[in-house]
This record gives sequence, structure tokens and C-alpha cells, in this order.
Amino acid sequence: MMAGAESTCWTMIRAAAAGSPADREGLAQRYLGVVRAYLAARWRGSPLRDEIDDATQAVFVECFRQGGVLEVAGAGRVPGFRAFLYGVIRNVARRFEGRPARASGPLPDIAGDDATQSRLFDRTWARAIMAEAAQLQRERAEQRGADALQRVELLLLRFEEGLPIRDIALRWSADPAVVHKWYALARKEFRSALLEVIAFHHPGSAAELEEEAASLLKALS
Amino acid sequence: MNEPHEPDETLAAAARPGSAAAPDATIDHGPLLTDSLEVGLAAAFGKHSGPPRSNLGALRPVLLKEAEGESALVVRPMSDAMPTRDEAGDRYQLSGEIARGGMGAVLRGRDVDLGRDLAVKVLLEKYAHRPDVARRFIEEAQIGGQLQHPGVVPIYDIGRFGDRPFFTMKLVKGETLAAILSGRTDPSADRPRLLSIALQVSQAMAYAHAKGVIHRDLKPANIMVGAFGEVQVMDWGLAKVLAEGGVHDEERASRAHQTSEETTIRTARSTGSYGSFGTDTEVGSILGTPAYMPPEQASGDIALLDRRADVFGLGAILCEVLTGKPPYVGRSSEEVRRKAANGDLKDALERLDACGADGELIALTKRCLAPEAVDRHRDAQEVADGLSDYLAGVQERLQTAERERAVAVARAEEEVKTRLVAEEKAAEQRKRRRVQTQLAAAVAALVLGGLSVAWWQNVQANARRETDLRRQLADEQRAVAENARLARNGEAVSSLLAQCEDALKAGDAAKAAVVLEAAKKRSSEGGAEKESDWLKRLDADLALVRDLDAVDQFRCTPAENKLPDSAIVATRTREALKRSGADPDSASVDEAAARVSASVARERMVSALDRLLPYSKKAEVRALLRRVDADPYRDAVRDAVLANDQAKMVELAGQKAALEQPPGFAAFLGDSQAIPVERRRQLLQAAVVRRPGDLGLLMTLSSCYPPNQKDGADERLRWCQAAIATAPANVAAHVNLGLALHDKGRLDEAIACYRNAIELDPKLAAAHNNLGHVLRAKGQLAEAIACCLKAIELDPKFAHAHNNLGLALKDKGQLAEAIACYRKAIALEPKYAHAHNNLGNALRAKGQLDEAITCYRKAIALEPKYANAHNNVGNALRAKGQLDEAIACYNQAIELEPDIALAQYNLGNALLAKGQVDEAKVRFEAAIELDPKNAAARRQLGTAERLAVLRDKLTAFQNGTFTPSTNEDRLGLAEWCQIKKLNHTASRLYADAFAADPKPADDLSVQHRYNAACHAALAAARHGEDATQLDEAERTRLRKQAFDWLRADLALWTKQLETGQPAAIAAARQTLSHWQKDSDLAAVCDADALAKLPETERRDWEALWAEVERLLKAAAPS
Repeated sequence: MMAGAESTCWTMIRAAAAGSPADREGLAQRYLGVVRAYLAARWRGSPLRDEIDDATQAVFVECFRQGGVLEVAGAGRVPGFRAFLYGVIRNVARRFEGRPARASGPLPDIAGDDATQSRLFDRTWARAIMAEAAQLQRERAEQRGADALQRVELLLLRFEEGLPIRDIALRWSADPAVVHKWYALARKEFRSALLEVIAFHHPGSAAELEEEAASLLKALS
Repeated sequence: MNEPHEPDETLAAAARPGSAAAPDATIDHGPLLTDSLEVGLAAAFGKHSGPPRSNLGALRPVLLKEAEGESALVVRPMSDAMPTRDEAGDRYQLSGEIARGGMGAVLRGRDVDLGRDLAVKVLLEKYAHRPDVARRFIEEAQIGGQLQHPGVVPIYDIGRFGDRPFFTMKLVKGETLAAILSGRTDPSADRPRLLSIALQVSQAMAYAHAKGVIHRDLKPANIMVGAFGEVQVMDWGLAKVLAEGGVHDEERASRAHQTSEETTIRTARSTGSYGSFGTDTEVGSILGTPAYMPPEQASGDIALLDRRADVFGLGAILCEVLTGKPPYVGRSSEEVRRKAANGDLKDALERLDACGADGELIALTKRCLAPEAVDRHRDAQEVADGLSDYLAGVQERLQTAERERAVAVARAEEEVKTRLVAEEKAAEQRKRRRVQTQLAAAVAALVLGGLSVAWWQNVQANARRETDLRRQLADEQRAVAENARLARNGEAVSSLLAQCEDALKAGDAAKAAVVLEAAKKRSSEGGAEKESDWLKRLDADLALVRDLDAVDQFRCTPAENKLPDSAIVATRTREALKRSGADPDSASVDEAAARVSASVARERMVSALDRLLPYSKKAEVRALLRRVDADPYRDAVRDAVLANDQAKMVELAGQKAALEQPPGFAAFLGDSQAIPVERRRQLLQAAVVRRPGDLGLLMTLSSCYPPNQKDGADERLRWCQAAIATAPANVAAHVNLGLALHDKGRLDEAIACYRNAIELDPKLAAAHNNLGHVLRAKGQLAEAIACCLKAIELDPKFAHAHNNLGLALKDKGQLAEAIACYRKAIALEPKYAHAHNNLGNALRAKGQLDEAITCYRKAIALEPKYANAHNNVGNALRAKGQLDEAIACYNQAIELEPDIALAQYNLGNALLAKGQVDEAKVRFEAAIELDPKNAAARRQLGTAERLAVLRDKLTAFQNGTFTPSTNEDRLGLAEWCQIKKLNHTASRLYADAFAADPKPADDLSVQHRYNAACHAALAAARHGEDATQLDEAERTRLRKQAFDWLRADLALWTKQLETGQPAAIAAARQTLSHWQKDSDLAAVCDADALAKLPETERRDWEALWAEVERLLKAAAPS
């Protein structure tokens, strides 16, 4: 769910750092998926996979504790939440990886270099942002009405089921040219939702939002 | 003539020499690319978009370890017997919600097949697509399902309703312990029953502990007391399955350097709605319930969380049973949390002392609530035993007391009867035997006297024996208790020392110090004599690690505006080693080797010795390293370092073994300047992966990506951010992050970084200087100048600050002051190439082209690969009309730095000026490709394209065979005339064009009219192939024409100034300043030339130039 236009992730972070339980919960819920997904990808096939829950929790404990990194970030010392969160997760992950292996388990199989891990995180982050944008687009569509909902459906058919536009037009008994127009509009709506989501996580000027969007899309490609 | 836009190179100094910043990086802010949006849409709506759907079948079942004596059970939550979704839907009838928590709702249900009522816990709808929550939910069921004990609510079934997992469990009809406790009016009420409940809870938890499960959220709200008195522990949503062997095994193994089990706090879980005093389980925060939490859980110290966390929970329940309140009470949840984290139990202990319960029970409760986990009972079984013994003792005491009371009553009755009978008999016989009695009295008195003495002596002896026995027994009991205490103490010290050792190995001196302090305290209480050597060793190792940490901190902290010299760092390192007895300079190699080998921080010491190698008594250090760290690869590297054999270093660094070295050694290698930077990055990254919290490593790694370069800017930024996350209070880390952000064009964030750095160290001149540099880039010149002045005030010899001050002053138009600053910077640092270059720019702006060229050449001599200086000398030469030399300079700049858009653009202009239109087009296109925002390049490309079309028409026009019919042709031919130096023809073409359409004349952005005036003035001075023969009348007419055109432009610039807009004022200032210096207008501007003109004409021109001067003053920056 998107917060109000004046609210950014930093608003929430500052409140969370100041001890607001609601914002702490909100922050945890918002970024839990990213943290877990990154750790899951990082530790795929490794015994450390069993530690994902603990490591995820350790990330948030690290964030919330008195004098912890979130408090530092909340004070406006560290810009760029994505990079900041990545730093925290990476440190926690490495702490787990640095522990001696249990007697029975093989050594963790983790990505070979930090650049790989950074890209891994960027991809995970990008996926989460895209999913949030899709969710926002759905919510907006529910407010706008049937046409907008149909355009979301169109995107689902196109990308979830992999149907070409002409097949979708056939399925809907519609003129392919018209469906193409809907498709263009749906893409525009997605782009708008994406920029709005990015504005929450990565406040900045319009140009900076575009830049961040391009960087996220690059991470996915 | 008006030159195309030609921005000066602007340079600013950074914190360290040689780190001057180039012009801001430019970013294409164009719309999202169509193709890349497809990728986003696929990620957003594709099959694998968003969080993966939870799939029960994919989850690894949680298998608990077998308790002693149990037969093997295989739990298969996803067996074939599991109902499908539809079956589950048909089988269970749901009739309403019983309770709701953060993660799930508990519904009342009925199993139609079995005909029984049950409780159904269903994952809340909002978490249906959250695999992490779903997984925890199912794990709760799996854990509960495998805990087969009367004290654990049995789980019957697990399944799904649509996307939502559910599990069914016994419907316990009763109330929670929290409800029972809150219903009491007096904390002492109903105590026996409540203690019996606490015992049953302990027994249930003892079973769970035996199965390797800890609950982590024990509290009255999670204890259900059934209608038939059955007691069951509920809500296993936070439960954790410990690894095989559990914590204690691992603790025992810790001396063999294994880690202890880590348990953590989760972030989303079901929450109880009972209780007060901050008793709700918190969501999204430190997890568990603070009012009942042990300190290690509340502070998130996951390394210390084990079964004893539950022991604390049991103690907390006992505390509430005895005193009516949980251990921690506060006005807000935050206060409760803080108390829990600090283990602030003063209030709870006072309440327990005053509760009136038996001392034995209070002691048991207090031990459960011990802030240090090692002081608590090891698990719930010990608590259950203690509680059971106490309750049994109470029972026995009650029975004994009852028995003694009955015996006493019977004895009293018997005594009364006996006394009455005796009194009756005595009264009867008194009369009859009075005489005999009197006669026998004397004899009896003698006999009884003797017997009494013997009896009394016997009683006294028995009493003494009994007293002795009692004393002996008490002594023995005290000795046993003392021995037990000492044994416990010794065990605790041993455990603490093992933790300290682990912390030291991990380089965590802070944690090691805390644990060691606790160990010392416990050690002073006896029982740990055999650990005294261990404790001393760790004490010494801690001192060493702290010393080395301090050296690292020193190495990364600027002093007097620069990072400390390596030799000074080496001296400090040697002093640290000396204090620990491992410095071969002061100790023998044998002694030092013994010290290093025995140290827990051996790797750290070896690393310090490696860094000492180039600076100390090399032979001794080398010998020591050979003794304590014999390794063929590292030996070879050390030999190469000692021999200063750079080629060998490069070869060794390139080997695969380099990446497999311990982090300390990898850092040592990565720091070597002899190794190519690419390889150094790889080595340092490998080291960082293994030692992520090492600030020195991170800063060295970030410095491997030089500032002012696009390549590696992202990596540099990332490592700088990691350094900040590692050491938020390190000022150098903030300064470096600021530089990295500035390089990325993120100016506001860079400013925030520098302000943070200044907050941390207000006297750090580099931070003030860099802040000034960014503010200047943002156009905030006054603030920028203030920052630079502050930097100079703090460090008057800081050449970079003088240079940056010069840049800001030049931006304000204060050229003379700027030049003075550059000269000062050069005086302080004669080899400062950027200052020479910037001085050249300022001199060129003043029209002192030859002096400017000298400065640029000096900069190039100092830094031959300084591409911008090559570009700038090209500009100066072009301004002097030396086009071929200028072209050579531009080509040199491009060769050095192919991405330099400015040089491509300038080269295009030089080629265009030579008439090489096609070559110029190529260069303009290259400039646009490199910098799509360069509007000047686009304009010049348009000019070149127009000129290419008109290339052959100029001759025809001159021959009279071609007459341009459009203004585009007229203006294009005029530009050709400029190239061909046909000033008279050009002025005629411009006049025709303006007559046909005045609009181009009024367009100040292209300045056709100004160029036309220049051509007219030049032709009037008989410059140009077509002007050498002009008569006086035509020359006068041309000057008048030039005057009118300039006058018209001046009127427009005046209007621009009147708008008050900063951009318009700046443009006017730049243009009018150019008018004054433009050699094309020399014939109508220089005093000597004007003196030769007729009086009226001269006065007109003087008035015009006076007006220009007036406007320039008005446009000067404040």
C-alpha cells in the first residue's frame, strides 16, 4: 500500500528509529520480503537456508535497537535507503556465514564475490519494487473502474500467461488495434505506478526518479 | 565574433592530493526505455512476480529430536492422508472467531467426520501471499503437532482453505492463566493452585526442552487452564527448534571453538490480547513479550538465547503468581522494553522479598529471573524439579505438622486424664499413708538425689552430642552448598571465557570486554581457580586487540587535515605489539613467537606484523613471521616486500593463492601499491567478504576506485556506504562518501555527508573545503566561499582550499581575486597541476592568452596525461587563430580520454573554422553521443550540416550566378564567408537576411546580428580578402552598420537584465564581457582606433562602450 504523497520511506524510518511501534511494524512488513528473498537467493542450496528466519530477524533487530543503524539512518546521516539496507543485510549475512560450520553441515555455498551479491540484492530489490508497483496499479484500477481493471488483466494475460496481443484480442473478441491501445495505456499506468513507488523508497527529483527506475530495470535485465 | 558555448573546465580539490573533481557527471534523464519497461512488467506481472506463492508441499518439515526413551517418529505433515483443500472445506464447519492475533485467527469449528468440536487457527488473509509468514505459521503447527504432551495443546490436522494455511487443535474450554491472575484481588490468594499450574507449565516445557524446542514467549496469556484443571501451553508461533545437541552441548563444545546456538526473534507473529504492563507480543520489533523477556532476548543478543530464555519466562510467571505483576512494569511499552533489555529487576526482586512466600520459593523464582543466563536453571526440567521439591516439601511439612498436632492433642488429653486419675488416687492414699510417707521421706530423698544427678549428667551428654551432630550436619550442608555454588561459579566462568574467546576471534573487542568483566567478577567469587591462566591470557589478548583496534581507528582518522602517515601507523602498531610482548624489537624471537602462537588473536597479530615488515627491524620481524606463520606463498610475498621486488609482487598477486589467503594477509596484499589496481580490488573484496566489519579494509577498497572517474563510481559509492554502516562515527568515511556522491552528481546527499563530517569534527578543513566545492556546483557561491574560507582558516596551507576559493570567486566574476587564490595554491603546492590549469582559465578569461597557454603547458608538464589541460590549451590557441596547433591539442586530449565530450566539441569547432565541414560534423556527433545534453554541439552540428549543403554555392554567389532566395541560404552563406574570411560579403548577406526577416536578428541565442556587426567592423578595417580595396565611404557605412547592429543587440540585452532572472543576467554578463574583449571589434573599441575616427562617430562609439560597461557593472554578481 502506498503511503500519502508527502510520506517517503525516510519519514517512516525516522519514526521507526524514534521508537514508533506502528512504523517499526510497517517498516518490517514493507521490507521483510526483500530481506528474506535476498537471503534466500544468497543461501540457495546452502545449509544457511535454515537460518533465513533468524538472519531476517537479525537484520531488523540490527535496525531497531537503540543506537542501531536505523537510528543513524533516521538522523539523516546515510542517504539512499536501498544501499543502506543492503549494507545492513550484507553485514548480517556475513556474520552468519562467518560462524564456524556446524559439525554435520557442508560449508555455505554463497556467491563468489561481492559484486555478484550486490547485483543479486539489486535484482531482489528491483523485483520487490516492480511487485509493489503492480499492486499499486491494481489498487488504482479498482478505484478507476472496469476499464482500468481490464488493462491490469491485459498485463496479466500478456506477462503471466505469455499471450500475444492478437491472441488476447481474439479471446476478448476485440479489435487487435484497440487492444494495442489499451496495452499502451496499461504500460503508461504501470510506469506511473512504478515512479510513485520509487518516489516512496527513493525520494528525489523527477529526473532522479527516472534514473532510479532505469537502474532498477537494468538490474532486472 | 561570438564563440560557440565553450565551458571552462572546472576543477575542485578533494580531501586528498590528486583527488580533484572533474565537472559533474551528466546523466541522461530521458524517459524509461520501452524495452526495459517490458522487463519490469514481466517482473511485476509475470509468473514469478512478487512474493512466491506459499506451497506447503515445498516446505521442509520441522522434525524434532527424540526425547530419551521415545521410539522413533516420522512426522510427515504433507503425507497422503492430508486433506485436500476441498476436503478440508467440507470436513470442517466454522462457527465463529474465538480470538485473533497478529498472524492468525482462531475460529471455533467442528470436525464433521469425527463429530468433535475443535479450534481452527487460520492464517490471516493479508498474509496469504506472504510465504515467510505462511512458513512460520505452518512451522508452528508442525512443532505443536510433534509435541505430544498433556501440557501442550494437541494439533489434529493441517491444511489449506484456498490460499490460506490452517491447522486444527483441541478446543480447550477454560480460561487463560492471565485471566485467572487478573481476577484475583490479592496476590497471595489461591497460591497453592497457581503454583501447581506453574509446575505443570514447567513440566510441559521440560518435555519441549527435551525435544530441543524453546518457546520464547512464555507468559500467562499463553497458558490455558481447562475446565477440568488441565494446563496447556499455547501459541508456539515463536518457538525455535534448536540444533541437535542444543545449547549446552554447544557450550561444552565452545572450548573446541564451536559457535553456540543462535536463536533469534522473529518479526511477525501472533499476538495475545491479554494482560497489561506491556504484555502484548510486539509485531515488527524485538519479538516476544518484553514484560516476560530475559535481557538477552530484549536486547536482541541472539547469541545468548537458549532454553534459559524459557527458564526466565517461567520465573516471570512465578513472579506474577507471587506478586501479582510480571517482572517488568512500566508506564509505556517502551519503558518496559528498556527495563527488559537492561535486566532492571530491582522492583521485581523487592516485590518478591515482600510477598510473604517461603524463602525457598522466592529463591527459586529469583534464580529463574537471574539477569545472566548462566546463573539461571539450565532448563525447565530443573525448574520443574525445584518447584516439585518445594511443593512436596510443603506437603510433607503440612502432613508432619498435622501429625504432630494430632499427637500433641492426644498426648495432652492423655496427660490430663493421667493427672486427674493420679490426683484422685493421691488424695485417697494421702490420708492412709501419711505416716509411712513421712518415715520413708528421708530414705527416698537420698535415693532420688543420686538418681537425679546421674540422669541430669546423661541428659547433658546427650544434648552435647546432639548439638555437635547438628553443628556437624550444618557444616556439612554448608560445605555441600558451597561446593555446589563454587562448581556453578566455575562453570559460569568457563562459559563466559569461552564466549570471550569467540568474541576476540571475531574481533569484537567490545563484546569480549563485557563478557570478560563478568568472568572476572564471577572468578573473584571462587570456584574458578583452574581457569585463572585462561582468564589472564584472554585479558592480555583483549588488551592487544583493543590496542590494534585503536591503531586501525587512528589509521582511518584524519589529523591535521590528512590521514596519518604509514610510518607513524607502523610505530603505533609496534608499540601495541610491544605491550603484548610480541614485538621482536624488544623481545627475543622465541619469546615473541611463543606469545603470538598462544594468542587467541594470533591472526590479528600476524597481520599487524605483516604491516610492520617494511618499517621495523626487518630481519627480526621476518624471522618471527617465519616461525608463527610458515606458509610458502606468504613467505614468498614477504620476501618480495623486503626486497622491494615489484615485479615479483605483481606475479604473486596474480596467483590464485592470493585470493585464498586469510583476510588480514589479503588486506596486506591489497594495500600494496605495486599491484595493479584491478587485482588489488579483487584481493580486497575477497578480504572484505571474510572480514566485513573492517573499516580500514573498506576505506582502502573504496580508495581503489579513484574519484572523478565514471568507471567504478558505483562500486566506490557502495564501499563508502559500507564503511559508514560499519563506523557511523568515522569522519573520514563521511568525507569519502561525500566525494563518491558528488562524483555521482548526488549533490544534496554529498552536502549532507560533509555536514555530518563537520558535525563529527568541526576542525576538519577537508570537510569544509569539500562542502564548499559541492555548494559551488549547486551555484550557492556565497556559501561556497564561506566554506573555503573556513577551510583556509583551519589550515592556511591547504592548497586545495585556496584553489576551490579561486573557482568560486571566478564564478562570481571576481577574476583578479580568483587569480590571486590560484597563485597562492601554486605557491603552497608548486606541483598542483589543477591549480595551474585553473589559473590558465582565469587568465584566458581576462584575455591574457599567452600567459594562459604558459599555465596550461605547466599543468601538462606536471601531469602529461591531463586531458582537460590539453583541451584548454587548444582553446587558447584557437582564440589566437592558431587552428592547426589547437586541433593537435584537442586530438591529444581525446587520445588521452576518449570520453571527453568537450574536446570533441571544441575540435569540431576548430575544424569548422577551417572549413572542414564533414570532419566537424563527425566530431559534433561524437560530442552529442557522449553528452546528449550538449545543446551547443547540436546547434553546431546543424550549422555544419547547413554549410555542407551550401559548400558549392558560395563561389556561384560570388560569381553572381546564384542568388540566395531564402534566409536560411543567406545566413548559411554568411557563415561560409566567416570561414573564408570574406567579411564584406558576409555583412552584405546578413543585411539582406535581416531585411527579408528581422526575426533571426533578434534571436540572442544565435547572435546573428552580433556576428554581422563583427564582420562589418572587420571589413571597415579592411580585414578580409574582399575588403582590402574598400573606399572610405563604404568603410564609414560599414562602421555605421556595425554600430546600429550592436546598438540594437545592446537594447535587447538591457531588457534581459531588467527581467532580473539570474540566468538572463549571467548570459548578459558573459556576452557583454565578451564584446569588450573581442578582437574582431578592436577597430571600433580600442582607444587608439577610436581616436582616429571622426569626432561624432568617436563619441557615439565611446557612448556605446560606456553603456556596455555600465550594464556589466549592473550585472555583476553581488
